[in-house]
Amino acid sequence: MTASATDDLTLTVHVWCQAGPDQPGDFVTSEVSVSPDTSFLEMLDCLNEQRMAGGQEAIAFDHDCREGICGACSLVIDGKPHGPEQETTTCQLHMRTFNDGDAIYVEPFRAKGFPVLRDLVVDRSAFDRIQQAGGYVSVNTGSAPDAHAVPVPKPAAEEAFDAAACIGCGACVAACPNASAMLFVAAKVSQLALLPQGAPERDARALSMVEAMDGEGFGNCTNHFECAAACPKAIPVTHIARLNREFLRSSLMPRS
Amino acid sequence: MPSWIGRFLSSSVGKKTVMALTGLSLVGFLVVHLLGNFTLYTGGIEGFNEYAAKLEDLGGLLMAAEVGLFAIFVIHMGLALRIARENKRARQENYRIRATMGNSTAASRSMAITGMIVGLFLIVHIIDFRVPTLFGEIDNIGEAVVARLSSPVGATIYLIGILALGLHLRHAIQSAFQSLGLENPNWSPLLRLGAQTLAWALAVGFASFPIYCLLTTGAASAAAN
Ligand code: HEM
Ligand code: SF4
Ligand code: FES
Repeated sequence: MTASATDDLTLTVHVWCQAGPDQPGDFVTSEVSVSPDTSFLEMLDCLNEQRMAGGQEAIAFDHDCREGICGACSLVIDGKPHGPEQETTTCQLHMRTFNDGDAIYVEPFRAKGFPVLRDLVVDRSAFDRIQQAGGYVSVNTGSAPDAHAVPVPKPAAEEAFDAAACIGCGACVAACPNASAMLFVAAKVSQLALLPQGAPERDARALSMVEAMDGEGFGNCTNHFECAAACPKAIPVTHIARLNREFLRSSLMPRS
Repeated sequence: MPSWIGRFLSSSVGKKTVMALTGLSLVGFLVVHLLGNFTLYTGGIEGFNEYAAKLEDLGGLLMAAEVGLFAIFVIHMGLALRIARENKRARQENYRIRATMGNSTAASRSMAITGMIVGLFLIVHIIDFRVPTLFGEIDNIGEAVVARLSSPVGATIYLIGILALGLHLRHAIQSAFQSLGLENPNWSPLLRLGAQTLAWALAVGFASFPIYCLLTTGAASAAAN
């Protein structure tokens, strides 16, 4: 019989396990056989079923939508956040990306701002707090305005929309050699800086979101640009340049 | 001091702004320094000495410039060390499996090390030439430079320092533009190209001196044999 795409893959999976925050951890090695059509998270589900059938505890990992929009599936696979595939979240990564017999290493995101809670689960609430520091428009803007009632130049709308694609997954932090959160904050600041609804609070937003970011213990950006390569939504680093401009302008020449 | 200045300088983006501005000022100094050194090629040792004498004639002005330059170095290095320490702390536990995503470079990953080598090299360089000229211990600076750079040990030290500087600048100049928010679809490709060209030009330009000195004195001693 010739091998077909549906033959199961047998993989050696080394998964990081750690009992709790600040506990020592290590890789736990298991063999799993899965269909190439399963997603990475489904592979972990299979692995957990196997473990539970053998009387072991399931390995904790974070997930929610499993369709690439919630940003919960925060894993580092073989050293890369969200694994080897470009512009793909872990939940959308399929096992056909791997070859039969591969060894796969799975680790949690590692950053001071994202403390490990257990096994592969990290606490990403630092992003919520940064967002709460100003990543919104604080007046009720009502229901969607009539088309063209609020003039927005097409290129600005496009760029704002691209920035808005950020799902807050934190892969940028995980990939950054400095564990900097600049790409995430840049996406949030950019999106609103480009639109009229965001304009009135532009200065305060840049200042307080950067302050919140620094306060959470993320590193300083040194322009490696690893973030953009890891980002499942391909947010470009041009937004970081805009955040730098926004911050400079708000600090040196505030509009109000 | 208005409170916004303190807030600005202690923020990550503010620190990077100061790094970029001090770094670019140092690059400006390097350009002037290199152009001045070229007098060795255009006018020989004599021409070089004339240039050095003109600099000395500036007197107080030269002193003021040197003090300013020193201050810029201290700020740049101080912030670099602080940023490096904070960035180390931002990832307390390292990945067991490390992979780059493909955008960082050897130059970008070794900024602290190349910076430190440049700093050490700078101390050697100042002890070599600036300290003795300051105390009038060297009458012929051109000859002293050529003698130092044509000794194998001297040339090696200078080439290592310049290699580290070249690597540092390869990342630094374009990184400074990004830190300052100088980004625009029309200009960015040109800025990046200009940054790379300048980094290469400075590295090759400075490296040419020890190489030139090694080759010419090598040729001179061969001719003498
Ligand atoms: C002639 C000497 C030097 C020049 C021309 C220079 C220039 C620069 C420039 C332009 C940057 C980029 C700033 C930015 O990205 O915003 C930079 C970054 C940096 N410099 Fe220097 N520098 C010099 C010496 C040093 C020294 C002596 C150190 C010693 C510790 C150092 C350490 C660093 C570090 C760690 C960075 C990294 C920050 C980053 O990647 O952005 N540099 N330098
Ligand atoms: S910028 Fe990209 S990598 Fe960072 S949080 Fe947003 S979607 Fe995730
Ligand atoms: S589980 Fe929601 S993005 Fe992956």
